[in-house]
Amino acid sequence: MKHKSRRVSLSLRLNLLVIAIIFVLAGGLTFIAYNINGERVDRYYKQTTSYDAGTVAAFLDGDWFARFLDTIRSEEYQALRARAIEAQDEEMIRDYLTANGWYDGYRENCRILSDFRDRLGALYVYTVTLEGGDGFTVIDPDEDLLYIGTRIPVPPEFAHIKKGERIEPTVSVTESGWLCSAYENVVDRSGESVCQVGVDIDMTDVKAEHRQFLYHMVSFAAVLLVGAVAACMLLMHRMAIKPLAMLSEATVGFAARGEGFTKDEIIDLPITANNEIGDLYQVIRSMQGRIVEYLENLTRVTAEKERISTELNVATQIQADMLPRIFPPFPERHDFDIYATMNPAKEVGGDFYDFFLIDEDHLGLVMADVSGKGVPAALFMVIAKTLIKNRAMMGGGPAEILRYVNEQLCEGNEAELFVTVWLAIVELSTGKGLAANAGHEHPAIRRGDGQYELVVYRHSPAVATMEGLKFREHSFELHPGDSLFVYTDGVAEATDASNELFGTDRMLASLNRNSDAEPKQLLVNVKEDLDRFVGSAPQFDDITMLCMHYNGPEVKDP
Amino acid sequence: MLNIIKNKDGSSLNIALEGRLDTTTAPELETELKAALPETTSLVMDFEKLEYISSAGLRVLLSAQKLMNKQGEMKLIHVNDVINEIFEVTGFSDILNIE
Repeated sequence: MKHKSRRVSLSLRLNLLVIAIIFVLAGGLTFIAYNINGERVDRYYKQTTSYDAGTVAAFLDGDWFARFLDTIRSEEYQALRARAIEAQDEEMIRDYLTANGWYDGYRENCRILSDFRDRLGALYVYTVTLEGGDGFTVIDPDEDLLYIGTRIPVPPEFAHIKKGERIEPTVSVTESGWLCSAYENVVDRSGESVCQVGVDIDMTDVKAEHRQFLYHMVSFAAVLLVGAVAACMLLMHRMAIKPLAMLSEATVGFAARGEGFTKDEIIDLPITANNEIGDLYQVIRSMQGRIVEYLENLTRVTAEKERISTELNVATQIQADMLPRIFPPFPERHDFDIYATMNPAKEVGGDFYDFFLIDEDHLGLVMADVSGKGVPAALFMVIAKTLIKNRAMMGGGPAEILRYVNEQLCEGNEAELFVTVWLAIVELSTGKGLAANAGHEHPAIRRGDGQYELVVYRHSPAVATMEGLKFREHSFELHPGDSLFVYTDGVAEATDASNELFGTDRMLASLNRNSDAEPKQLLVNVKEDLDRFVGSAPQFDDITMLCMHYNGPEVKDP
Repeated sequence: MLNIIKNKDGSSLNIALEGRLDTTTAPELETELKAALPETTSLVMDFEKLEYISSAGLRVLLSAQKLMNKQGEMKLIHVNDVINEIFEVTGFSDILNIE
């Protein structure tokens, strides 16, 4: 079975496409906006934190820190600190600092750092040394005294930093949440870096807010998506799908009607859009207009054809009526039997036969075929038939008659039609006859109980071919029991489906199938054989036959 | 099924016919002749390969013969037996110039 592609409605396709596009667009935009916003917040915090660290550093006395650092790095202090940690005794450190005159300075710096911490809203503010891979905590207001001078591992990201070099602020996640960390160098009087002050600002809330921003963006995008899709669908439906469906329905209705269109049948829809659909609508309208016009024209032409056909039927009837068709034609005469038929190929034909008594003793026989077919041939046939009979009734031999008819027909014969004629006049009392053959088929004759045979002789040209023609005439004799059969080329030249001719041999065989038959039966036999031979092939030419059986002079009762 | 092979040389025209010259094909020949004959004084028709001629075909030949009688000459050559018999029977051999 042939696979038919699945029908997917246009609107569904378009909507899916719109959804996909908006989805990608909104997703992309949200992602970009989220990142830009995040970076902006980070940058702002780094800047602020860095600035804060600078402010704190400026308040610290670098010279004091330089000396204090020397002290807490000393082996003496470190040893004391180790003992104090072991004993968990903060007092030992305080005593040491007091004894060496550091405690007041320590207190003072603690106060400065915690002050800043509170005012800046920072999480931690403290001092450390980081450079050179040898880190120590210095002062942290959030730690106790034991904290001072703790050796700390320097994080790898700071290991490469040289003394006095600026440290870039960072944003990172620690166990206490999101932090923005910045360091600033504390410098002594000569501008040398002594240690760093660190400021950590809590970004947990900010980050939460940032995530909140993402949620807002996503939900906004979702609302936008739904709204846009709905709007698109609505617009698409109104602008494209609905008019197209309307057009489709209207044209289907138009196409389903087989005939009988009028101008009112042309689709009339409320489509005014000046776009492709409007164009399509206009094109369909004008196309339908032309179809209606064409059909009206066709109807008119068909009506005209029917009228002509009717007239042709009448013409056929008139033509048929012109040929003697009542058999037996001379019921009171027993010296001859005669029968004839004509089957036209088209409505009106160019073949004709005729027979008439010129006087009590003379019978005129005519078999003729006008060249061409249809109405012109039929009209020509009417004139020819009338002229032949009228002239024959005036007396004279066949040659003389045909010569006269030829002259008459040649006058104003613009259509250049001509007619082949076999004309014979038989003296019924003796059986003697005279015949002229103007280009017509060979007649067939049967002598007594014999077979039908063709009588072949040289013919004269057809009548109406050329002015001044003379026609040959020959005499023949019929004996009682003889039969004459004449026909037109429609018999001999009937063709079957494979273009083979029926031919005179088949015709003779047909005649001799039952050569004793009456003239009427004889013609029926030939026609039967002819129809069987031709089969379904169309009839090209008129088929006309005439048979005359001569019985001999009537024996008059005394 | 008629092939009309025309060969024109100035005012002389040579036409060879192949196939059947009958009711269906006679109008083709008539059209060809109508177009060519006004400037022809010598018309030669070769019937060597003509298989059949009907009364419609004879009419076209007759028209041509009548016209050529006025303005020059017309002759038929290589007329085969089949066609010649038709000419004989129809009496056209009296009218046409057959070589």
